[in-house]
Amino acid sequence: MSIANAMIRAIRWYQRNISANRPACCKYYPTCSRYAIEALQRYGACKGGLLAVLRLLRCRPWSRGGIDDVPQRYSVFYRFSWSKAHEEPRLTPLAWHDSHHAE
Amino acid sequence: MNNSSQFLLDSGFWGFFYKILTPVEWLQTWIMKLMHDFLVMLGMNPVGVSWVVSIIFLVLFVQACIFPLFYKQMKSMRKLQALQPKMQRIQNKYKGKKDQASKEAMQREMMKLYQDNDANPAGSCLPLLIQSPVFMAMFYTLSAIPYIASGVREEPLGAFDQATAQQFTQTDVFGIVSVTDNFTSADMGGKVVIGVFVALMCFCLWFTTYFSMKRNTNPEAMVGQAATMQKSMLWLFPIMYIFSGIAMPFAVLVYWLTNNVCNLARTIWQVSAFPTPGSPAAKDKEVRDHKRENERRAKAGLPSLEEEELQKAKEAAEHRDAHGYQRVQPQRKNRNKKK
Repeated sequence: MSIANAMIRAIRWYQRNISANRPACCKYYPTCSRYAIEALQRYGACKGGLLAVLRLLRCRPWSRGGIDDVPQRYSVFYRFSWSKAHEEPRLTPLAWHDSHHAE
Repeated sequence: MNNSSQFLLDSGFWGFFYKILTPVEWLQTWIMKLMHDFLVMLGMNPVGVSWVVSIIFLVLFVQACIFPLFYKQMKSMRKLQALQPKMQRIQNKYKGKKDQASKEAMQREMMKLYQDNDANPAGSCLPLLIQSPVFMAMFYTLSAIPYIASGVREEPLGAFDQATAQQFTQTDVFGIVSVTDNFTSADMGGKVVIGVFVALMCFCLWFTTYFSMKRNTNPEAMVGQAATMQKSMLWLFPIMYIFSGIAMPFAVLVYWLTNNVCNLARTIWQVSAFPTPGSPAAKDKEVRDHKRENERRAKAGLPSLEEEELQKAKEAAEHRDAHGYQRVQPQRKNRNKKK
């Protein structure tokens, strides 16, 4: 996991020193960097990194943007509605869902 | 002219990078070649201004390819203005709530609104990401041509075999500066021409930034760190251009200047057609639209906007005179039925 950790630290560095000084400009939520951190934490350097790269490639002028969370089940195709990992956009973050289950 | 015996761009890390860009370079050379052939067919001299015109044409071609992306972005901005009331409703819902969870929920709701209405305030990084490799490929192509002509770089690049490349390198602009000269290698006249081009280039870039800052930003939004950043950008990039402009061959400068002029023209058009709400340009547009609407109405024989407003005010006054100033209480529609 050390590679993933190093990558996360690099992204955190980017967030603190570069991204923080600029106006918010991401067309997705969570932002690409937050998405990347979450993906790396959950799926590790290779699989999570792939998700993060795909997310960056989704930043195109003709893409719609919007809510795009890291899928709960790993699949590269989770954005397609036919995929088993497909999720409807959530209006509340996942941590809330979890805490509700716990209660 | 550059007579060194080795083409440095083909070696090292950048050589690998330019290798990847080969398809782009190939396409660019063919666009230039075809345009050149077309100009020669029209009767222009194959050596001379025709090559410069084909470089300019290449810029226009690239710009035309990127334009739809910008246009879509502007359209999206306009849609966003129509969404303003809904956005305010969401903002009011979370007013004064500073905790992490509320902030996140608000952003999620906003995003959902954008997504459902197919509008997004954020552009994307792609137009910029496309532009820089295209520019790099252009730089590579135009720098490689003299080496192809002298035979140092043996394999041809796209449409440029040795004969074409030799023709290209013989091109003089105004009979003073060769397209392959850069500031240091050119003679006195060439230095002046290149200097003028670099100055124009810097001015175009500076004016583009200045114009959109002055006319297209909401004065209330221009405070704090974002404003300082913008102001430093205004000067930083033109100054960086001076240094890189001196190192580039003249052909690249032609490309660059044309590109900047195109960007400037597009910015001016964008500011007048799709201004940022609250900016001076938006106020001007309001006045302009008002005037245009009045002209349209005058042509169609309809009362102008002011006359219409006056008419309405008069009707309201008459109504008040007839029915008194007391507002009539609204009544339930089925009031009588219910008894």
